[in-house]
Amino acid sequence: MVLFDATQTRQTILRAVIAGNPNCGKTCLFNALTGANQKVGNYPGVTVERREGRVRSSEVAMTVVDLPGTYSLTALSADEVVARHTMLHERPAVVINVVDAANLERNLYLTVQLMEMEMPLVVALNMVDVAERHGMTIDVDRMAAVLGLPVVPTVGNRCRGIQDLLSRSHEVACHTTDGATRAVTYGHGVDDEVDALAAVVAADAKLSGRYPARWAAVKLLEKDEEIIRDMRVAAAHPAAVEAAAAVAIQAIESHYHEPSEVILAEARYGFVSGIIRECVTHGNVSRRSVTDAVDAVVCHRLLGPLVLAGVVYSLFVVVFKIADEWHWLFGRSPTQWMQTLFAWLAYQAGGLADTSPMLHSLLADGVIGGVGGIMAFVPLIFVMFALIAALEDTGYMARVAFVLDRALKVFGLQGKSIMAMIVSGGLGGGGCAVPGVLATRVLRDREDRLVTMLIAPLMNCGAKIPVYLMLIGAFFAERQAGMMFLLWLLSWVFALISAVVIRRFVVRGAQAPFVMELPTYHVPTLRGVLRHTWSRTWMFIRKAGTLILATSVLMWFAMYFPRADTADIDGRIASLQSQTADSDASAQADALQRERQSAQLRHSAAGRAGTALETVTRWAGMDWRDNIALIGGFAAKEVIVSTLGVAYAMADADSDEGGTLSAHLRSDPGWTPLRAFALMVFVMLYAPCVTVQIITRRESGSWKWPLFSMTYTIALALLMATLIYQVGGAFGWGV
Amino acid sequence: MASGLKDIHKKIAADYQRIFSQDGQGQCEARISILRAVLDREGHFTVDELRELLEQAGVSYERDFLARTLESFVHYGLVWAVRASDRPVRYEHAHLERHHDHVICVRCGRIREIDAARPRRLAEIEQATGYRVLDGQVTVRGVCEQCLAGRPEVFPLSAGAPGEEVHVVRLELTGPERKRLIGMGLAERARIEIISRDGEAGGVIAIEQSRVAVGRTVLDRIFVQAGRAPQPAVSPRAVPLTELGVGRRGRIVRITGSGPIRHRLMEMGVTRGANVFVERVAPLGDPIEVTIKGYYLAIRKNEAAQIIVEP
Repeated sequence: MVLFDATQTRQTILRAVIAGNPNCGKTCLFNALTGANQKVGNYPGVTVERREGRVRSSEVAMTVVDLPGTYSLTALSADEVVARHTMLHERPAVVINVVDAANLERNLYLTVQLMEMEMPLVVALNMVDVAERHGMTIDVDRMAAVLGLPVVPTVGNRCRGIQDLLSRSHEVACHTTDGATRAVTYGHGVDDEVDALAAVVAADAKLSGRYPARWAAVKLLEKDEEIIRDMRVAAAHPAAVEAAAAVAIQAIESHYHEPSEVILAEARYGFVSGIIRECVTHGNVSRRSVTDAVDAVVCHRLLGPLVLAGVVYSLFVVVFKIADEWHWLFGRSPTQWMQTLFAWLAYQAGGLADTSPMLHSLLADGVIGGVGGIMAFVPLIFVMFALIAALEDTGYMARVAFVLDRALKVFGLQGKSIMAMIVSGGLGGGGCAVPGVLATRVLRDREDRLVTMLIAPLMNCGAKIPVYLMLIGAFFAERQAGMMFLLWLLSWVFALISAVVIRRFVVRGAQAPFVMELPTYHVPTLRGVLRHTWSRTWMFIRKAGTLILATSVLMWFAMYFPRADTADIDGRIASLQSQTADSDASAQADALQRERQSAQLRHSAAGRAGTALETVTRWAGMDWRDNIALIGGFAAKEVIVSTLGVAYAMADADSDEGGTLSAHLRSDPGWTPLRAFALMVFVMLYAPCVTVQIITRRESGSWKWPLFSMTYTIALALLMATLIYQVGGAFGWGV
Repeated sequence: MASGLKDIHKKIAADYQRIFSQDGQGQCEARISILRAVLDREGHFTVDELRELLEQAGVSYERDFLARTLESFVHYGLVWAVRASDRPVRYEHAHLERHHDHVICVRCGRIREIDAARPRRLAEIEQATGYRVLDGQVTVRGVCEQCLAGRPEVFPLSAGAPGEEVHVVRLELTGPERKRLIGMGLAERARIEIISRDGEAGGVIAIEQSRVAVGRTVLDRIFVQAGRAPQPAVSPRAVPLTELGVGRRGRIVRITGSGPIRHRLMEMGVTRGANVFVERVAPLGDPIEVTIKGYYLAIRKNEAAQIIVEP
């Protein structure tokens, strides 16, 4: 059957599609083929990522779509359905099947399914270097002959074989190659049934044009739900086809005493084994590969957890050293550069203070204060993401999931949830829940994914840390490290407990099966790591550039308007200030200034909202000014410190907001360590920021979940903060 | 008959007389004389056998009346009935204290009484269910040793008896009949239950879940063996993957899971015949890491327990 129209070639750009197992180096190959000409989006209606790009070559005009990595092409997961649909309905001119040469048996299973689909196929035999190191010799020509397909050896991460792959793919796409793909056989009895059923399908006028007949027959024999559904609707004589399928299934099952889909799967593996026997020879290299050796330590009963703890600790330390401490970038650390930049900007804006105080306030307090405070953290976040990406690319993360799975299972999570948690800030050195929620995509099962998405925002992300640092600096100066550790611990405790509760009562459903591949270790490429890191850091920056900026401005407006009538106070201040000689008067004038600011603030929209909330929040020790900051924090937690600064009448737009605010709060009689602690816990737990909510909605498919997330976190935060403040107060701790 | 028993029988007769008049049943005299005859007769008898007995004693009743009377005796607990399909009902008089069960041969109809362990069985049931056990009679169906001795191990279906469960060893059928039955699931090792026999002619059999009426020739040409087919040669040493042990190798012989877990395992290459090597167990005891089809796979013990391997 013709799956693509030859006239297309001349007129339109050729479409290619890349299919393969997860971890086969597919994405690397895709990047090598398309360079920077990429576009990332979503398939409509599903949260499956779609990457499309233009091939960067002058001779070949081709667009490439990188399909999600799948182990097979049934209709049981969103990834597989998307992959299948793309191939059947978009009718690509060529399908590039990336196969991990070191893992042939399992990878070729997908190849066989692609052959069944009668797609125009090119096999990219990737990671041949790794295979060689394992002592495998693959006769590429023989394999091509046996499969009846072009096979191109490649080394994706070194960009070897790319040109070859491109030209072969182009050949296939232009239909200029000949040679028949070898038909897949399933064993004597089954083949007869497939042939017979295929004949029935081919005879059905409407079905025959829709799918390759043999493929449809195989799918029907596998009881593929999607095909069955479609057949019932689309066939000319659905009852006849269904009856024929039922007879064939019965014949197979009564002969083998196993379900038909199992027989077909086993037949495919048998087919694959046959191919491998003909084309691959195993040399005499010792089995103890590097992966084995490393795993012996990393997954060891005693050493494993120690290594994990060590890695986590060093990650934490290294991140801070590179970003903050070491003055390696032209005499300063990256964070210092950021701070300097914003201080400079504030200084520039300072000139407006006299000419247009309102604009000055907007710029200094609103924009620079809000955004600047956060941008200072970009270096930290960047380094953190870079190290996480490096670990991911080595394959170590899979081992982390392996070691922690048992512990996480108790809380209704599973090993792979750890990725999302770490990216969200689970290591304590910052992170962001926006890429964190996206990282839940590795979890194949909906329930696990949902629970992880709902608790990831409880981690100490890069937005909460400035709040902690500021308050710890003020009230726990001599125990900074200890407090940070405590907050890290608390975030995990709350996250895990919430996971149990959510799993038990909200997201119910049996625990999904846990079957996970442990890829071989390999050295990450700089390019790969940077790409990964940058996409996540960019999410963080973009949030700053858009949402935080908007929120800061909005908050500024809410805190500036409506303006109170301060003519009275103004008068008194002026008169006091005129008494320049009298130092006492000047102190009084300052005090009155502050009072004026405060009155102004209370009168504004934000002030009124904050005051209204006080009835509830005062039990947790939070007053109207804290509330204003927390309201702003709804949109983006990054604005909490700056808003707090403004609310406490800090007139100077110092990007080192934390420092002077710390001092101010410490000297404020209304503030105690207990109050600070309660506030920190509140900030830790309450409502994920708006961007996270939006992403959660997208990934979960309904507004129900972000709404739930918001409600339960606010309730938890309020409860905990109140508890801490009241109980602590009763015992006289920290007051 | 021992005098003791005679007394019991007198008691029973007296009981019945009382019940009888209370219930206002007609023909008291006749019924009581039948009862006496029943009480005199030890062992099992059919309606016809009782009729003969009575005629020898010079009394004649209509068969119908006898049958109904015997059934009413069963109802009153005076007589026990042993019922086996398509065989005449056998009765014996009930001794209120001495209860026993029966085993009946489905081929020749011989009855044996089994007595041992009855009180204990009933006590166990009482304990397990919390019910107060009044009485219980078990009729066990089997094939008696004589019938077994007379039949080869692999025999044609026609030599089987209703109620027997067998499995197919060999088919000597041809043609459309064969096709039809294969379409209904007839294959080697298929389970067949003989539902009924039309004397020496054909009968109705159930092949797996479908019932079909077949003729005598068909019954002669299907060779079966008693009981269920033994499971495919799974070595007694076959164990779930979780019990294989670290550093040991095995070959997958069966996967007991179904549905999504089976599917997930299959697409990762966990199929029958595949070789598995257990690399290690995670530090916390779960999951385990195995090598299969040339790569490393982590599986939770819950899922691994459904993979049966042969070391």
